[in-house]
Amino acid sequence: MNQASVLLGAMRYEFRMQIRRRAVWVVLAFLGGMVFLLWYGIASDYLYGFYTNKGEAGAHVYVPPSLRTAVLYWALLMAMFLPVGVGLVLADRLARDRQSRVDEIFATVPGALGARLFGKYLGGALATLMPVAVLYAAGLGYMLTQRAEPGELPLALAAFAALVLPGSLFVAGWSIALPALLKVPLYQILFVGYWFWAGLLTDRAGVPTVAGTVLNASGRWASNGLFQFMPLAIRPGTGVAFALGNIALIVVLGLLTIVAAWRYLLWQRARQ
Amino acid sequence: MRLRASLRALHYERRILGVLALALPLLIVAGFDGFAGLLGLGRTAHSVLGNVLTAGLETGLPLAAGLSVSAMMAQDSALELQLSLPTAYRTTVQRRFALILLAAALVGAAATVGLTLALPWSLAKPLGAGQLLWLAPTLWFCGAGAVLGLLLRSRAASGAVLGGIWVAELAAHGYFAATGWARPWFLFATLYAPEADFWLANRVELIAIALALLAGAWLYLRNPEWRFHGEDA
Repeated sequence: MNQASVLLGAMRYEFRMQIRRRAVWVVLAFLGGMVFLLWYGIASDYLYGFYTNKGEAGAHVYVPPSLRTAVLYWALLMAMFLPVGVGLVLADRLARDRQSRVDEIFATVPGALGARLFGKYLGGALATLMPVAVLYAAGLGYMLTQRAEPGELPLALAAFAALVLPGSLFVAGWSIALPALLKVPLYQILFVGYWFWAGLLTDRAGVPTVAGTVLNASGRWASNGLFQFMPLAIRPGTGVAFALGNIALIVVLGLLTIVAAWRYLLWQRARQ
Repeated sequence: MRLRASLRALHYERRILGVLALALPLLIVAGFDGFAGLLGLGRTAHSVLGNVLTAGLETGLPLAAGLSVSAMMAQDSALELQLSLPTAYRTTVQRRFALILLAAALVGAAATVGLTLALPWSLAKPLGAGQLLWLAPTLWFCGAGAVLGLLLRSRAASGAVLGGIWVAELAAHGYFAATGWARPWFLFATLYAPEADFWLANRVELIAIALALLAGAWLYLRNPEWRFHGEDA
């Protein structure tokens, strides 16, 4: 059987299974609501302009409205928190095959394991990104009702592609692959801890972390490097090349974990 | 005779739950403590080591227990059989819940006592109050895990909500400590605001919310057939 058709078939079915799960929509809507509240507290004033005396040094200064700033805050906060949900709702996809015993049936039919696994990754990740995209568009729609500047739409699309997508693809790869090795609850807690430790922890905590390295997948390198957006930047003044390198690295790392899981499952099958 | 039967039932439930559900809190706390030990070898400041050890008990242990409870509530491969047995399904779930909570509590209590005696500088609270350090968030996560597992019927989805709350509270801890309405929901007050005047009230409020959530789960289980509707695998 043609590997491409196996891959496409697996992708189509995984997409349909995942997108029809009510829990995926409910969970991501809940997390999106939390992110919206956070955004509302931090950045909604940028839609209207405001006076500030940050640092309480001197007179109040007027900050003019900036849809661009509000949109970039929205994209960055989505990129920092939504991948937790994306990763965790994908964590049971491989374990489910074992639990419902379909893996044994798959072993008897033609069609390589690698193509099926890669199809599972593409279909599952795409389906889980649908609610994320809908939530992102809903937030953007709210901003446009408050400040009708459709000229910022290309920026919003670029921010989604550069900030939200890479981190989500990175965690999708890990969450499809690692439950081949670990039990789902153990993977879940390790993944959540890793995301906080390697993405959101600051150096002020005094704990050694990879959050300040190119491995940080929370969009904080890209927001600074590609959009010159300063808030929550890891190292202000990040270059475009470094930000692009960070995006490429985390997407490739996500794919590499799928390859590693594929080799591991082949090895495991050979031992049986 | 009844006691022996109860113990035997607990023994079987322990085997059904599996090693991981009961050992997860121990694994996670040991992981945090091991990490602190490694940092200690590098002459890290006591304040940082204390924070890592406190984080193990106040953030790691509760999430581990909550994930185990939500996984147990969300899935039961012998559910149809359970409903045909003389023992009510609710009783079986109570036994499993008690085992997970007991395993977490043993780890929490032993670690608090051990750390207070061996490294008196490590935890921000004395021994008595120190027990609330892990107990309040653990009960909260177990209560939330129970309700989410029953309502979402998916261990991945309920784990995602618990994980999302965990990360959001850690990342936005300043907001939770500074905002009046958010304080009763601030799960990690010992890590980020140990000297705050609302600390004890926060612990009591967390436990009260947890008890309300557990009462909700208990009432839900009075209608075990509700568990059948659309188990999300």
